[in-house]
Amino acid sequence: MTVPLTSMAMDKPEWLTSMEAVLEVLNEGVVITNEHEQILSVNSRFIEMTGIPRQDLTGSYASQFYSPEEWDFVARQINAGFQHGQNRYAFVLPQKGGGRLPVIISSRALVNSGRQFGIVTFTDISEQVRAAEELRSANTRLQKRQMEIEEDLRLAARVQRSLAPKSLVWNGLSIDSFFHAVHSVGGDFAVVNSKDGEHVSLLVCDVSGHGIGSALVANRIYSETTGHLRTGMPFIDMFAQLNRFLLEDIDAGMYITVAAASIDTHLHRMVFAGAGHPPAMLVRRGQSPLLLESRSAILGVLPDAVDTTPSLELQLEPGDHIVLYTDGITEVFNSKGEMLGIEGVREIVRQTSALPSEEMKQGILDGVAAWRSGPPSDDVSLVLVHVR
Amino acid sequence: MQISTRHHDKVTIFDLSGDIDFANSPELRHSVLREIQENRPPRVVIDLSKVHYIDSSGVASLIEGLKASRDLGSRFILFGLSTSVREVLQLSRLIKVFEVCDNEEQALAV
Repeated sequence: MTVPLTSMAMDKPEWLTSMEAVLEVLNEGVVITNEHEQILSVNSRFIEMTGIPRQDLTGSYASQFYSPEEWDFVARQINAGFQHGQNRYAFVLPQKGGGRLPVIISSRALVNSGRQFGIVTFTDISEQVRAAEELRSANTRLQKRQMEIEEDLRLAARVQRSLAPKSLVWNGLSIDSFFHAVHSVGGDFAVVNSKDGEHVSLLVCDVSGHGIGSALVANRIYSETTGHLRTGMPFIDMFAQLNRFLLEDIDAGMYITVAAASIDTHLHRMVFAGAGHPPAMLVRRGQSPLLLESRSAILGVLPDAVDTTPSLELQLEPGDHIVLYTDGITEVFNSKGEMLGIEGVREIVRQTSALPSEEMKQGILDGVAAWRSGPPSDDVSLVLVHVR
Repeated sequence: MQISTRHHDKVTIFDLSGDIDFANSPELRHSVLREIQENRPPRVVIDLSKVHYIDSSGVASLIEGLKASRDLGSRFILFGLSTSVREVLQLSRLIKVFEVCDNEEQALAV
């Protein structure tokens, strides 16, 4: 409600007259009001911010320049200012023509000669508000892009999961597998296939690193290896070709470790070869797991990485298990910083070897998880073959 | 991982400490290759006595250093391998391609 203008209310106190010169040099808009929110004085900066001439401001009520809804908010803030002696809040300053300038409003109550005055300063924050809006807009665009990338990664993860062999039973062999990428996609993969229905080929591969780059190389290597396995190419020849492929065609400092086995399902003969890979294990009831060591080096770092001695040949027996895995199983640390290592995994495999195949696989994974402190930091692949 | 470099006569010694993994092995590779290519020391010695763990990417970085040294006719020697570092080098079947010594005196004398 506006209060009738009285000559006393509009009297400019002496202190205000002397203060006006100081207010003129400020870079903030300043308004001095009386106890009725009636404007007694404004500085030039305030006039510049509002675009409203001084004569239209002086003697007016602040409420005249705001909409009723805006004034409702401002009035509450003014009351709070008078109650607490001061107040500070972000709002808008009405401009000539109906515009609204974003400002920080600081008000301070002053009692002088029994009268109450309000000293209100307005700091232009339009630049900050514009920057914040631009930031919000950029954030929205980033969130949208992030969602697109996540959708791409979900698709890539589905594609990569298709590279993991399904659990299956084949000519007296049951094969269980587990695959987990530490990121959406990773560098581990496994292959189980057959060139003629009698021979089952198994391959576990670990491409250096994690994430998209490794996954792309893993897909290329997957295509190469499945082709080679289907033709029945000897493992040392396949390793030599993969080594050349990595050094000459990929040439991006990527390298792989591989463990490969081929099982004659009629004769129960297995041929095994590894390249820089943690040893596979042959588990026979009542015996400590036999380590099947790599003879070749990591592929993709040296031209002469492949050992040319013939691959290891073993006679399998019913009840045997073959365990192939990547270093995400062995290079696992407990809270004391101790690595599980080959011997740790060997012991877990020994302890679980009497279990049915599916339970043995889970037992190995549980044993590794029990050792590990914190979440997995590397991709994990595990293939378990049971000779029936 | 922390890398510091010492020079002893015409030998450059890299003292490494901490874990060497996929996140920091590019830094190791960069430091070693820059030293070999810019200063061409006749002998590069890598002190691994304070390295608790090295993964296959760290081993590959050492191989890069070995290859660059061989290209320049320099020697590239490792010493102070912990059990876990030795295990990873053995698993990767690359331990045989390196000259490995027990301690710094040997690495400087051989």
